[in-house]
Amino acid sequence: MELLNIRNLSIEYKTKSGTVKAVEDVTFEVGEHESLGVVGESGCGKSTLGVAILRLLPPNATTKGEIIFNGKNLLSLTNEEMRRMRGKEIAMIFQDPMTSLNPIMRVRDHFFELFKVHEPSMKKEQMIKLASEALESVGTDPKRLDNYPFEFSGGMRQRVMIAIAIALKPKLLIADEPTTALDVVVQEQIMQVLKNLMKTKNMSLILITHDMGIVSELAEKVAVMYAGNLVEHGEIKEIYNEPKHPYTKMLLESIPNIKLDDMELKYIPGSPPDLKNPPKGCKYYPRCPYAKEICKTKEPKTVKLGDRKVKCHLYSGG
Amino acid sequence: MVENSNQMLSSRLSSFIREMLGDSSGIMALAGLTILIIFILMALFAPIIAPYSPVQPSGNPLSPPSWHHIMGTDNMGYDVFSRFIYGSRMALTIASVATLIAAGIGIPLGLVVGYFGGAVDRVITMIMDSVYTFPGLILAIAIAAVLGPGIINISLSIAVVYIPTYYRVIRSQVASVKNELYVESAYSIGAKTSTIIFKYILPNVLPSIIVVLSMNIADAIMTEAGLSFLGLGITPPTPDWGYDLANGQQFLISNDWWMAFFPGVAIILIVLGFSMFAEGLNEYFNPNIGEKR
Repeated sequence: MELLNIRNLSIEYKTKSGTVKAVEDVTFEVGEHESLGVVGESGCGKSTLGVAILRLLPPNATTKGEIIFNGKNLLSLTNEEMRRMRGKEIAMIFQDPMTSLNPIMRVRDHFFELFKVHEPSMKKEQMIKLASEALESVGTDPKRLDNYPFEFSGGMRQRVMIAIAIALKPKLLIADEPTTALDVVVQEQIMQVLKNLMKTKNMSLILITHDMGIVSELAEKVAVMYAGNLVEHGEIKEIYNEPKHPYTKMLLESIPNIKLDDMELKYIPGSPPDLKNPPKGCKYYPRCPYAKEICKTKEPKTVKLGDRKVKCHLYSGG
Repeated sequence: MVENSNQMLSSRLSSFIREMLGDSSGIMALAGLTILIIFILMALFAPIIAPYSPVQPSGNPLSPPSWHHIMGTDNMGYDVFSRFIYGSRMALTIASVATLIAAGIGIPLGLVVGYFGGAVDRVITMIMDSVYTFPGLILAIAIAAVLGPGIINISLSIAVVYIPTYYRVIRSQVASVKNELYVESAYSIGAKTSTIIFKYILPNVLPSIIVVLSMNIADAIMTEAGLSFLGLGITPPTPDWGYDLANGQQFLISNDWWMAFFPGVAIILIVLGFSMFAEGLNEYFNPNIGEKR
């Protein structure tokens, strides 16, 4: 049974200078206890996708398609019903832990706020107990509940954010670049925390990141996004061993590897297209070394290759 | 338990005062606060401090300062010192009522409009800006002239002048705070919009509210004195510095300086007190302001 089913999701931002197609016709699913990594360059729509699941997009965004969570289409819920999902069923952690906590509220009160929203009848002792447990499960001393956010380092704050997110045992955790703002050592600690949580709590995870290494550490499946499109989606081992889409290939090749003799950093030439008026055919053809005539005019269809899906003319028989 | 929290409060207070004394901004705020406390005590205990009734002749008209009348008497024979003491009541009452009205309207308006933005923001900001473009005293004069004298009317006409100040400060602060990540993460745990406005946004804009508040009281005292000076304020013989100043200046030409001098000093001192307090607080809350390059 799939926990989350995203069907033909498209998201557009209306701006003064035109409409930005941030996410285009994206379809994927996340099973129970499954972890999915969403990777891609900056501006490929991966964060928009994460925020869209919680329906926290700014008012100038329009969303089309279906987001089916636990049998319910989130896009057809009322605002009030959606609010009750947030934090209880689906939780989210953000990129910058330094500013994610209200500077004038004790850590304790951040937890209490969450409990008050979802369990108004909960007693104070119970709230403290739950908050302490949550803090312990991310490796933080429960005594620090009484501290203010400024008394924590970045890594500690991210632990607190994770603790708040998992305190009510949500079914799905969306982590939007949870380690990007942290240094490598702390990054590793946070990854361990997430890994342990995945093992001990019955939770699915969507990990949004641009770091292929982090994805390989934590996720079972991976979805590669480019310019708002899902270009490749499947088991992480298969994709890492044998990437099909040219973009995935280039992405994997561009991971720095100190063991190789050829130490030069590889990168993908060119830059992502302007999403206000993207190229007509395949969004990737201007940068693609395999580009053919058809790529310039016709958008590729998503084809299934075994368990994996690829959106590329190389495999669609075109 | 209660004792415990009291202890905590007193130890917090003492460490706060120690911190305030630590640098120049703190000393300034404390000096301002001292002046204000003196005036507030004066207003509270006016009947005890004042030697004579402020509205009954108590000596010969126009007698210069002496041991009987340390600030002299005015043309009606009222004791200037007693009117000086009682005048603080009128100044503080009107200034604080006016400021409270202005804050009570301006702050919620700025919060809500700053948060929701959109077309409502355009319209209300335009209205506020058009009020703001009027010179404060002239607008207050116009409203006071329409409403007529009386404490509430004077307070109202002063309040209207200051609503835009609160509105503008709060609106711009809210507009930046509402995009902070902690507001977004509050949404992501399912917090209600009202909770977000009052628990996440309002407390984070509070320091600027306090500073604007104390500056506005100073301004409001000036405006009140100005209105009374022009005869649009409180009906005489109710003691009022502005009225006494206006009354006294007619007699400056005959060298009876004390009638205008003491009310003038009172206005200067109390405005200075509020301004120093506000500026000190401002520097305390925004330590970068006084920083040298």
